[in-house]
Amino acid sequence: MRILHYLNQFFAGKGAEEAANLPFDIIEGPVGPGIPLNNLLGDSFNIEYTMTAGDNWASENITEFENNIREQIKELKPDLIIAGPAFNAGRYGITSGLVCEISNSMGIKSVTSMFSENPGVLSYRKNVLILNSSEDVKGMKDALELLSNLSKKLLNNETLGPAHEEGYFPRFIRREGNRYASASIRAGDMLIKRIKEEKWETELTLEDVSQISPAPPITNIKSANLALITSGGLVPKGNPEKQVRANSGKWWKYSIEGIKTLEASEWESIHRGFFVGITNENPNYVLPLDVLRNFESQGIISDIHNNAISVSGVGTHVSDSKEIGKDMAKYLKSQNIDCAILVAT
Amino acid sequence: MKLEIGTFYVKDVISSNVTSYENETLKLNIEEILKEILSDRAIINASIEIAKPGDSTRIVGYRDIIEPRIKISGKGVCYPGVCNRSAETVGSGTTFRLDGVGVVNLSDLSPTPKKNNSNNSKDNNIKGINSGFDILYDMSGPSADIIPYSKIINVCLITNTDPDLSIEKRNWASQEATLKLSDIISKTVIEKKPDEIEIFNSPESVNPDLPKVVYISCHNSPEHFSHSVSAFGTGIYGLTRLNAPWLLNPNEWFDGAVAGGNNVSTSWLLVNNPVIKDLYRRHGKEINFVGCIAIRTRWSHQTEKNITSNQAAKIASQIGAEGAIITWDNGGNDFMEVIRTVKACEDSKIKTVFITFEEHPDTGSPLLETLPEARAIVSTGWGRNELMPIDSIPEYDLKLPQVNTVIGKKSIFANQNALSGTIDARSELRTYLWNDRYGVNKWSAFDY
Amino acid sequence: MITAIFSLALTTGASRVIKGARIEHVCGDPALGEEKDFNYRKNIVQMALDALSTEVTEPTLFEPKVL
Repeated sequence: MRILHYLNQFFAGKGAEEAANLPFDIIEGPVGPGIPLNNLLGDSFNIEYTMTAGDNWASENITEFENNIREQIKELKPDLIIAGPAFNAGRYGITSGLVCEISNSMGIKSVTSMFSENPGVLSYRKNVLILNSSEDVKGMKDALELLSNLSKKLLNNETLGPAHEEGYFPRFIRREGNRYASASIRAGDMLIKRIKEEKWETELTLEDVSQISPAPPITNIKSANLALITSGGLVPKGNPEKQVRANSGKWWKYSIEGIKTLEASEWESIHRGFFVGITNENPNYVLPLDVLRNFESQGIISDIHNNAISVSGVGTHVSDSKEIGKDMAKYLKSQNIDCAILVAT
Repeated sequence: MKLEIGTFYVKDVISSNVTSYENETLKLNIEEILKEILSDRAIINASIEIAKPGDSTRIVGYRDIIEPRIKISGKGVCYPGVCNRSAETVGSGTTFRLDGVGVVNLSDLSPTPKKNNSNNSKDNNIKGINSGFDILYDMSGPSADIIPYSKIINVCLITNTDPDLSIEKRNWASQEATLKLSDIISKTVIEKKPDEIEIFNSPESVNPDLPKVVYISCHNSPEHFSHSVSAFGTGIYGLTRLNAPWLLNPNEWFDGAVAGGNNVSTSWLLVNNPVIKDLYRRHGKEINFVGCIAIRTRWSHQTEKNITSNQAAKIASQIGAEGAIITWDNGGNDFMEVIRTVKACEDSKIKTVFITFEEHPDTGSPLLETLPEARAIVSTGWGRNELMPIDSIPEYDLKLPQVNTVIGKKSIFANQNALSGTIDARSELRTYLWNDRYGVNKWSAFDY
Repeated sequence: MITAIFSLALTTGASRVIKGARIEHVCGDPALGEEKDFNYRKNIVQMALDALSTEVTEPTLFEPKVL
């Protein structure tokens, strides 16, 4: 089986910072840490070529660097590409991640290794197998062992175990399966480890929610085009379009042209996630049209969009919600809407 | 509080002319029992059917499952407070239990479609159970590996209640009948010698160096949807309303102080709560299990939710807890007070472990709200919160095979979301509605 | 966004959040009687309009007066 190894200029033995500007090169056989790695891999697997580039050169000439990698992969048709270990060297981590990403995109398996705080982890962990390494070369032996073990699994087409077992950074792919004991026992075990300040690990890592930048304020609300939206499941009474009460995957619009208030005889909520009795006695609770028409007559606002937008906000997947939101925004923009009031239950 | 629990194993349940327990066999004089059940005029019809582990039988529309338990000594009765039962504090003295059997409440109210699918309060006591979805389990097949009720003998009490009564009254009537049956069964062992005896003593003075741990459970209240303070649902001493956090002794749990119907928190599962059992196993050895705190969830306002969480953490602090295990039993906005309880504990320097299901990865977010304080999570895999429409096939789910017998509701909705269409409940089905809220199974999810 | 359960709105990044009354009646309160309920709803909506006209740099909570 043919393996390509990627190293930066330092680990390829070409020098440190002074050699960081060296361009892409390819050398036959293993080099530097590739030699002990090759020994660990055993007789059936062989590092046939080592690709290298100066960290600065690679960062500053990304397109050329990428092309070089692609060409080598096309020509040499490797079975696996290993990059690093990059430890805490930032530029090296990023180029290693990039090499693996290119490799994967061309259908070639790949693996790299770096320290948890290396920026390469943040940039590439979702799509690339990155093994967790120590901060510096003191951990070279362990890093190479993990690389060699995982490489053999990849080359043998074995199914990889969960991230914490194999030692790679979770790629935010989750799969179900049985753990070592019942959840009640695992909870006790985890709690005691926490209390004793022993090493412990959560079974679910929560990703940070991406922050949205606020829209700029409306300069003249009097003349703004305002749309009304509710997630309270508002529909015309009797639900003539037979909207689904939860997780419908779409949003609805109903004309409120000429309507001064939402009457209980004309509208209702079909939301199944809260008690709708009170809202059904006065649907303005979930879309305050009565007040908005009042404001309109007083000149506080002048332009209420003719359609009220409604969804039944229960059980809808976050991913679907994002799509619905985007679609709603597209519609609103097409109608020259400047701002919207959204009532959520 | 010291509680001695005597266990009697039940390996078989048969019909007989004398209701008794002998040689691990429970014998029931069904005719006599039904006469007793029907003496309550709220019950206009009743029948008993028995399902055993391994049967090709599906139990559909269960309201609750009760493990027969009875107090031999010590204050109060098991399953206190509900249906006019004694309000005395339980958890001490001696309690006998029958292991391997559960009495199933299958009333005719098992999710009934409401008029116009509305949420009017008159119809709403039904919502205390679930949003109208069908809930079921099989006594054999793939769901039997997951849902614990299939591993015990189910003595099913099917009741029809007086339609003139309010839904709330009817719900409690069927539950009272089920408790009656449970009492009849548990009385059979009063004079006998248990197969096994265990002693539970908390918080006895254990090694003061042992870290103090508290169990915090979060229970959905049916009050929100029903607007009734006495709707049918999970109750603490029978109280199902939204109220302030309770401090309970774990022994109170064993005597059924926390009990009642919910699609996951059946009385059976609550008195056998594996989190409590595991904490007791470690009590005096690794930890000092100092108490249980129960909060109610599904408050309507952020302030109310915050108060609940803050007070739960305060109680935990006051009893000296260093660690807390937290469980919850519902979905939707209940999660807010639950995750805030986790946060409030962590903010009070109480280390937490939160047991929860997670949303399927395709939905975009594993938990409804991401708070960084929830740093220690035990995952029970993906939530199965609704029976999918029959033609929707989630890849990750089980196929429930066709069964020979159905006990309970004979047809289920073809479209669970719209509560419309009917299919024979014996049919092949996709997925089940049950989540491992109390950590019964090993099932979980991993990062890859 | 007008909502009674505003913490979730803030933590998930909604920029302008107006505190609503209760889940069951977000924009008002039937217990106040018809006139005062309408006034409360006016306060909520006015606050929403004010929020739309206000510059914010992060999720911000606005609290309207009830009476």
